[in-house]
Amino acid sequence: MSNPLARVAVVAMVSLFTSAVQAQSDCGPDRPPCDEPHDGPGCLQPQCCELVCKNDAFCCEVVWDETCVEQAGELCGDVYCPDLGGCLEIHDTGGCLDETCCELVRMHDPFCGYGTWDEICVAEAESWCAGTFECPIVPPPGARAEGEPCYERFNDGCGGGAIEINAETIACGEFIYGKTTTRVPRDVDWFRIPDTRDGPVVVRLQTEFPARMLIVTGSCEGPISVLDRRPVDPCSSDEWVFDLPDGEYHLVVESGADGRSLRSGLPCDEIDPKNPPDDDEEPLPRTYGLHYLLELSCTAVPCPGDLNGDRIVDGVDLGLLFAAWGDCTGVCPADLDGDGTVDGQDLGGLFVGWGDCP
Amino acid sequence: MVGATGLSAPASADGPFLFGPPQVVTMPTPHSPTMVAVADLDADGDPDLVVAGRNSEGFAYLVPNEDGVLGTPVELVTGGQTDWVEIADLDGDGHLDLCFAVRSLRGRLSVLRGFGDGTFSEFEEIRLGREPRALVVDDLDGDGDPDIAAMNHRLPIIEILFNDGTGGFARGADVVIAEAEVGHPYPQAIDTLDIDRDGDRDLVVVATGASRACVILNRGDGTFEPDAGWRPPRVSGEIGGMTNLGIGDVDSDGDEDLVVPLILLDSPSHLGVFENGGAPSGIELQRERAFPATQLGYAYAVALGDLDGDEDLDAVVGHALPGPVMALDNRTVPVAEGGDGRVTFEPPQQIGSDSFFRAVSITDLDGDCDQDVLAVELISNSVWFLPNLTPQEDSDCGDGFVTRTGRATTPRNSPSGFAIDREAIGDLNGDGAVTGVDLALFLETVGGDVRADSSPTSNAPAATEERRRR
Repeated sequence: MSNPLARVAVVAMVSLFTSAVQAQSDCGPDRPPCDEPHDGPGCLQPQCCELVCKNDAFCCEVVWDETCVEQAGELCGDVYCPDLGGCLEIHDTGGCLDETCCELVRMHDPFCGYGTWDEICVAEAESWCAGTFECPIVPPPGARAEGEPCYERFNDGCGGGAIEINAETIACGEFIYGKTTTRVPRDVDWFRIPDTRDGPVVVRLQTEFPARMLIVTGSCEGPISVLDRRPVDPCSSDEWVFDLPDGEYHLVVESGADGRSLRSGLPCDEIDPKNPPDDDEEPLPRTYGLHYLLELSCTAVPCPGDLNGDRIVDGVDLGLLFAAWGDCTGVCPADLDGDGTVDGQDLGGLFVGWGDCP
Repeated sequence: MVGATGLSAPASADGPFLFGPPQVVTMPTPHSPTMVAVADLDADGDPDLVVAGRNSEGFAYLVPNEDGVLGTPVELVTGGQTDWVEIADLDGDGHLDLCFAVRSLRGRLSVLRGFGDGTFSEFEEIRLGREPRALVVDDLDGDGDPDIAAMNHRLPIIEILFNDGTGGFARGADVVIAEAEVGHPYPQAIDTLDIDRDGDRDLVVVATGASRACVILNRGDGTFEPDAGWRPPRVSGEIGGMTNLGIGDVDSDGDEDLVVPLILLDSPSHLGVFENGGAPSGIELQRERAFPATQLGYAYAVALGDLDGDEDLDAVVGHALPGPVMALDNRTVPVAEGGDGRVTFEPPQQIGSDSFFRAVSITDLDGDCDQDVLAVELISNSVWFLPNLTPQEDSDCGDGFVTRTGRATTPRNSPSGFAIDREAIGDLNGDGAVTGVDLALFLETVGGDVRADSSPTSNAPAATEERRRR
């Protein structure tokens, strides 16, 4: 029915019996795709369907005909999701039925939207679309906050053309409650692994998002190598045990899957005071939570007083000790003598170890 | 690739390079040529050319060579836009085959088996990842037949394909590179070398987005150690964008070094050198040396070869927007000859000029046993053959076939209108800053939209892009 006059007449009649709410319900997964003419109104891709129907109510009230298809071609641009086919099944059209999963995969791999949902798209869907996405982590008492606002970059390794690695320290037995985002540049959190002895290093990571851990050695100018990697599914936790030969290593926590980095879906949830959003700016959709809990278990080469694990006892450690002054429970690295109180004895112990660690 | 050789002769032939007027062969259809490979494909004794390109109709071109005269390009159907081609006898039948990297998000290799007379079979596809832009053919597992390492631009994954000796390929373990980077790594070029001199073929990949030369050591069986990523030499503190690499023994110390073009925003483009320190184990690259490549345009492509017959490796650099071809004379005095062995190049000499020389190659095309220059011009859709007329140390060379009047190529005024709006480039690798790396990434896109690759042909059964829905 491509005659414009006929379309107007039919719409006028049908409109008497339909409502906008009903029209919107004709957009969705139970309808055929928007780029195919078909019996009945509406089509599969809600965003595209609504765009077309806003322009031409006939398409959502009578039938999705060739004219609607033409309008979809003109109006829908990058609207590819959802589309026919399971997200975990290879199929020869773009997109898949789970809209959230489809959008997440195609944001990283546009071919999955406009091309075909091939084995690479399926692998990405398996990595990123499984699990429950709402699983807020409650940090245990004594966990240290990572301390990097998501609009800053303090511990991003060699990011930003850094000459020296920017990293935080993590001590054996310490918990880090951290956050990572895909704000550009994407956030990666680097932790210097302390020198250890007597056995392996054990890392436990609980995460709200698809995460991966990397063991990195080297320097920013080069060579720099990722020695090993371990992905952790969203809303799960994992334990990674490894031995490291002598040397300097960093543990990196970032969003991603095996072999791939996640570069969208985790927008920053803080306001950058230097660049606040406009009042009418809508927040970006977030697919996952942003937090992780990292625990490091290992036996450090003794270095009394090195509270931040940077292998030197200095004013930073002194400041940390004063900050912890008094009674302490749980994880309390400043309590050097383990008597439950940070006091003058611990201060003396710190001064005894002043300088480079052995 | 230029192999390592024992080099010892003094540099007595150093001097200005002389090149004859170029033979310019224009491709018969809009081709956006990207790369040229050279080998004798019709068994007539002359090296022929195969020109890859971002051709929307899925063609590449064979340019026959007869005694140094390049003929009319012959169409080769590859099934997609191609950024790279390698020539090797993949199936062991004694004839050279062609292997193209098809630059598509439905990534694949396109293999054309040679019949030895300059003709080829219909293409066969080997599926890869996202937008393969380069590959290298070499014996990676030490079994004597040529294997393939193929590089995906949009996935930081090198795919390893082991040859069964007949041109059938089995997949090895993928190699992931530049994982610790904040920005997209965007690998762009790949080659092999034996950097640790243990007798097997290692890989080196230039990841433009990460601005790293990633060296990947072979364990000897085609499995690989984790990549070791090196930044290029900084120029006035700036990290340059790398789009290409050359391999050869530029300091004549017996091991293979790397050279890379460096695209900079605040300085003229340079040629960066990674000198192989020859560590007894592992890799030791020294990165102190970089040399101005031009005051014009952006250094994009590099090749190494001995242009003046003094037995060291000179460099040819192709530039973009505008696009001079510059030659840099190697003046390194090797340690074996009492020098300090530190790589030294003379200031660049212009030997050609157009708009965007996207690839350069050095080979003897006219059979006079000196090294000529091939340059691929992206925008004017052509390949330039620059015959070398430079006096050679070896008197038997350089005065053979070509008898043209020797003179330096006259520099031409580069066309105007190609100035790049740096502000408009944007942060293409997502690392939070606009640098020469982003400019390099921008230049890599010139010549074709990867999404345009949508024309699989009948002998590509897995092809489904024609069913693209919008």
